Amino acid sequence: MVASRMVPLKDIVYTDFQGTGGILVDLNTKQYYQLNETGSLIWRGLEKGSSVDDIVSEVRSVYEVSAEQAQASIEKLLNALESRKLVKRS
Amino acid sequence: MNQFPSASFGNNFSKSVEQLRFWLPIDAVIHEGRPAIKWMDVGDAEFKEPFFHETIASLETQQTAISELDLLLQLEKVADSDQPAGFIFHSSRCGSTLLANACKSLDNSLVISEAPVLDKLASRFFTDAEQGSAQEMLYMLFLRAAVTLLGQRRKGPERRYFIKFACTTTLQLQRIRKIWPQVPSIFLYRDPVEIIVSNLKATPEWMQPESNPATAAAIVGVAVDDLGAMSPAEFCARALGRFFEVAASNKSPQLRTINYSAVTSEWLVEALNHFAVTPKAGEVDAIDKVSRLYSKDIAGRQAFSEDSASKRAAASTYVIELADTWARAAYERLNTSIHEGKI
Repeated sequence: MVASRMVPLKDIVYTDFQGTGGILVDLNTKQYYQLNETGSLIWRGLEKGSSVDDIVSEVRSVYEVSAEQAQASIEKLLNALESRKLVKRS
Repeated sequence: MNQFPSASFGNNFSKSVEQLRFWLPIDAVIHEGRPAIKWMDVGDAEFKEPFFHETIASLETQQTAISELDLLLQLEKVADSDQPAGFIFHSSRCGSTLLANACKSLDNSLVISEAPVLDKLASRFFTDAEQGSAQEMLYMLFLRAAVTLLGQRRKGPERRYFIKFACTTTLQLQRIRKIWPQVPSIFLYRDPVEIIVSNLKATPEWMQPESNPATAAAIVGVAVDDLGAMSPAEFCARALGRFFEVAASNKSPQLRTINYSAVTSEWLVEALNHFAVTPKAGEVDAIDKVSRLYSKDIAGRQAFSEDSASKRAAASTYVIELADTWARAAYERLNTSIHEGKI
């Protein structure tokens, strides 16, 4: 499980592409990462300071998905982002 | 000597973003072995010269800086910019500079004509960004950011903002449409024999494969090793065939095509209508005036003289055969499409 609230690190720039996904750039390492549509939705939630529960609700308002499935998908992405030092626990 | 602000590589990006507000990205370069962006404080430059690089050359005493590419994305977020009103694509030597000059004749307009930063970023799709890859999206975002930053409201009020791309960027038309699906575009073209003769007379950089073999090979759709056996005339004919093909395949209400032989001062006004601009009487007069001048004369004094017949007369049998082999069919497809609608 991940903490209920995670926040983007300040040197991470996210740029959205027409709502269909986007790119995260780590300004320190110059590494970039592509997010798909769902990943972008989750990232925008993190930027707003939303909790995981809030993001689950947001994802379920857009996609037909169970709360468990949405939560698992979000936590998987958050773990991946945290392991790459793109987000931190608040 | 120009002062060199601390906008180069490093982590102090908040400072760099602040320093470079209202500066323009003027080139995509390699700096210390890495891709980078060259910036210039252009002040209130109006870009009235026929080409972007000519305005930049006139500002050589202005400050410049180098940054990594990602600064484009950071500055895009804080930029107050006009969005493009129209894009101009072309096959080279076909009236596109005249259309750009007509756009410049409008009051309160900004025309960015063949800015190296845009065309070099677009050329990365040839070599570094496989379709559907993360790199492709990254370079689309860099390109979007560069267009946004070139359109910054440096002088305050909103302007009508037009971009003319280099001819080779025609091959990225689909990607550009994907980034800006709503922006109307025009593709200008001309009889391939006339274009080849003109380009052989004064060979442009894109026809010099040695300057960037990988990009040159991608432009004509061959392996780098095959470039050596290709004459400049064949290179040009193959490239034209591909430009025409891409334009014909992408024609739509948003993308209009026009043959050089049909370009008149009246058509220039119609082209502006396609860009959702209705020129005022004084602007129509100014457009008429520029249509009588040689479009690439930086002083704006040399009269235009029609040269299609002399170019065709100067064409060798070899050039005519190359045009027929590599470009004629796609050219005829464009000519067919032009009769389907009036701008």
